Amino acid sequence: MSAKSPHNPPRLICWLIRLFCRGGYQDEVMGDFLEIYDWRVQTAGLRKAKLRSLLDALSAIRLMRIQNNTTVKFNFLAMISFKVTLRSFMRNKFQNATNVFGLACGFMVFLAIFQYVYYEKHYEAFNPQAADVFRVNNTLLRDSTIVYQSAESPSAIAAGALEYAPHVLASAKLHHAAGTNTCVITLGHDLASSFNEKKIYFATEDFPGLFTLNFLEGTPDHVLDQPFEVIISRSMQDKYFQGASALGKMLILDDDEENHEVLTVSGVFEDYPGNSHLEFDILVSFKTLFTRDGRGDLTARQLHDEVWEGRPDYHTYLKLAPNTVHSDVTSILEEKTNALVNYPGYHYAYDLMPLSTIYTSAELRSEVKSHADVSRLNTLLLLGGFVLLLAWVNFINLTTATAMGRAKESGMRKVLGGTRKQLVWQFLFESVFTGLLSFALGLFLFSFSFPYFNDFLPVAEKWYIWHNIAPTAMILSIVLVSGIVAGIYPALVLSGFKPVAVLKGTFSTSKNGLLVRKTLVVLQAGISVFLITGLLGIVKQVDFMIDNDLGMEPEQVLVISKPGNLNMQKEQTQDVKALFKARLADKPFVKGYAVTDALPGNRLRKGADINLTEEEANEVKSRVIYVEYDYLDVLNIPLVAGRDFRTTEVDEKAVILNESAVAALGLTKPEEAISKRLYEGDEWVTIIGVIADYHHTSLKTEVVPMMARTRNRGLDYYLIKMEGGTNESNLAEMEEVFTSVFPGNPFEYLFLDNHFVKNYEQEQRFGRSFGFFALIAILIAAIGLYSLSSFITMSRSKEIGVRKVLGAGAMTIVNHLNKDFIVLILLASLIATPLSLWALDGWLTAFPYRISLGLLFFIGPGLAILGISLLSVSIKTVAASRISPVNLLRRE
Amino acid sequence: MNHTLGALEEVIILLVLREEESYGAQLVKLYVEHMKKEITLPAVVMVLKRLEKKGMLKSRMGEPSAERGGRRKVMYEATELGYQTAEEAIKAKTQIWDMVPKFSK
Repeated sequence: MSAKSPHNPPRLICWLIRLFCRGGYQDEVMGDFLEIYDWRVQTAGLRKAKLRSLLDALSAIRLMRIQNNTTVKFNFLAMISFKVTLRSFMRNKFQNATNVFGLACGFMVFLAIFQYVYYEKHYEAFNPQAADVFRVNNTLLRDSTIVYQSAESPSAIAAGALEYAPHVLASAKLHHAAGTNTCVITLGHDLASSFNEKKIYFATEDFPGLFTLNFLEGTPDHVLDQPFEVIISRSMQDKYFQGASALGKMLILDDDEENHEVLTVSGVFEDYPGNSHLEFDILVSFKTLFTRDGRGDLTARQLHDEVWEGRPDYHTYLKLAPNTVHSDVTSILEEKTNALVNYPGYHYAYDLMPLSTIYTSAELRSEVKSHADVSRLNTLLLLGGFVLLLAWVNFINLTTATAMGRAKESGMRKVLGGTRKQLVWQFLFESVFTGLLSFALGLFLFSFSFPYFNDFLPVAEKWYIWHNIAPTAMILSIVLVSGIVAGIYPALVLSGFKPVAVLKGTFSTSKNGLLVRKTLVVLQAGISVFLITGLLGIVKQVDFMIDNDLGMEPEQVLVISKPGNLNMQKEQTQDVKALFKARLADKPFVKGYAVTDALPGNRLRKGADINLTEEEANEVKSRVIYVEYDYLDVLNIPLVAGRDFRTTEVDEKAVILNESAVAALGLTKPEEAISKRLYEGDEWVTIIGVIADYHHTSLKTEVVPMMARTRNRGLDYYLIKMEGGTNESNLAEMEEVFTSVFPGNPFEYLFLDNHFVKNYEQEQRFGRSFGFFALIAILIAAIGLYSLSSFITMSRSKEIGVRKVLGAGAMTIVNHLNKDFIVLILLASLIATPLSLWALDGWLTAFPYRISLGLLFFIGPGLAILGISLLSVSIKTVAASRISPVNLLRRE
Repeated sequence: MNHTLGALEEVIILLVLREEESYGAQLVKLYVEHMKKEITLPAVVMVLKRLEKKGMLKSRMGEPSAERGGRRKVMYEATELGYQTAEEAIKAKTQIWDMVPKFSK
């Protein structure tokens, strides 16, 4: 046979056609079908083609020949009476409605979580080339220990791989323009319309093709191949030009390295999807970089295109031919790079990472976005599974309970000639039908509450998951299977009864069924305990981190980023910054002013090895921040010994350590460190002071040895401590000063304390999702207990009547009926509490500063569940205990 | 024998006549192209089989091709009867159309 058609329709659809189509037509129809499918893929796109092919398949039922053979295929349909289903549903209206509602809640939660997790785990899926595109990761090793692993590579790799390595079909390179600089985009010469931009990159001309940018204006061909070209996203078009055509418009790019470039817009692309590891709004042609000043003895072109070793500042992507062995490519790159390395023991390694796995793998240095926390995703999925399981347990429980009430019905049907097979099909159909109904309601609830949980489980689009065949099939099969499993027990047990026994009334609920149901109650209560414990733990931990003393005071500290556009200045840069400071100092509300390169609340990036001696063994790894001399004062960080910097200029060779660094250096008392000489990197400096440990980043990381030095250039953040005045008026005054000193720069600020709390956003979101899902889980469990108790009280109504006649009070009866449940709930808490505490403890170990699990955690969740269960059980039992015994006993 | 044509039958037989010889997939493509709306393959196949039964089309087995997963085509060709019936149907309609007064407003 010749080659298969290039596009194959989903197998399920082919199967449907074969199922429906009568024998003689099959070959013809199948052939036509494949041909049309192929044609539709080419003309209308894959998604449309799939949809149409499904319609084709369904309408193929018209080609079916009705004959004996066909009835065998579909004869189960004849065994089902939909009318009976509706009648039995209506007979237990309330119970069935709660049943459906509970399961619907379960489906809603599961859908929300499943969709979120699927979305997070399938980044780059929108890019049809994703399977063939790889990012070059760059690792520097000393002997076999890793010095760093970077997401960026040296500048020559992209072009070099294309030139020297076989099977490399294309390559692209990105350079973050706003990586360490502040970039300002100005429209035309109007200084008032300038914007600080972060998501701005230099990109080579192959980039738009490899990453399938969708062009709204301009064409993908030959875009970005000339210097001074720029393409922008649709949201930038809206922001800059209010949606008007941007082609040919001028953007001026300035940064604080005094680059000044006039760019022409040559294209507008649809905003790049959020489910990519990349995030960019403005792409400037890479050749623009070549027009800049060189560095040292390298021209700009050499610097940005021909460096093989060091300066890994370029995100590099290669498109490989299918089935390329990675080492064929990387070994060539490693050879070229390592030939230039001349420190003994050091060497570089490259590895090629598929686009689709980048977001779910560990973060390397210089990633564009922070990556997914896979263990958190798995926990969430587990949670979603739990909630669904809870709802499903309810469903089984109630299906079984109501089915028992129908024992007489099935006996009657058998007497009238019904076969066992018919009964089995009927019961199965009913539970599958209820499952589907719940699913439909669940979809509705999901759609309704989507805006709410999209806050903490964000996905790009409400129905995202339905665009993908595999997860859709999976969800539908979960729905079907849960329906079938719920129906199996009643179907098999009830259909097996002897009609005589049932109708005579000698039939009784089997002991097995009761045990199953009790186990299910324990399972439900246990899961609820687990969820409440988790919720409690997360909320407490987040509160703890937010309320904890940081060792400094970020309150009322305003942060302004350094201005990016200083090209408007006539005078020297230094003077302008001093002028800004002097003008601010005049304001009565400005209590302090400091400049730093490491914003508190951000990760400490710069490292330094410090040493009291010259022996390598005594080296201590530490972090370094550069500040101007008022830093400690503004943040109110206490000095333990020594003094603060006096002025920035004089103290260039002086450092201040934190207590951890002093301890790590082997000194017992802070005072000992003062005036000691310290070898740092490649120079000797003097320790002039020791500060108390403070949390620079957040309470999620441990305090590390840290060193502060002074410098007065290249510092990125201005910290302003405010006191008095209202925020509005203070901000207005500062803006006025800022724009008059730094014309052509937007005034952007943030408050330091808010910035700190942002560090805990992920945990807060996790807590919110946990809270929401725990709430739903408990609701489901309560529904389950309520209906179960109503079923049990009903089946024990005779017993209650007899007890009342013999003089039992209402209270005694309630207690008697609740006793069973209390035992079950206590058992559940007993099992679930240690397990959930163990899991919580595991989660907490990720935090160096964490809460201790007190008495509250041991008894709180159990008590809560007990209370809720008693409440839901008692509604029915109390009602039952108040009915007059005459009514109870007369009921037969 | 029933010698009338349904609306869809009419379109399909016209398309077959235009092509002289045609098959299901091609007819779907032509239908979408000319009628500017979608149609499912089984609908077309149904019509072809019905027309064949009415004696207006005849079929023969065609050659297998790669894009059809190696399956044979069934080629349809109009018979004399098919040609005449289609012609009559169209003529009748054209006659009526010719008598329609020009639509004002």
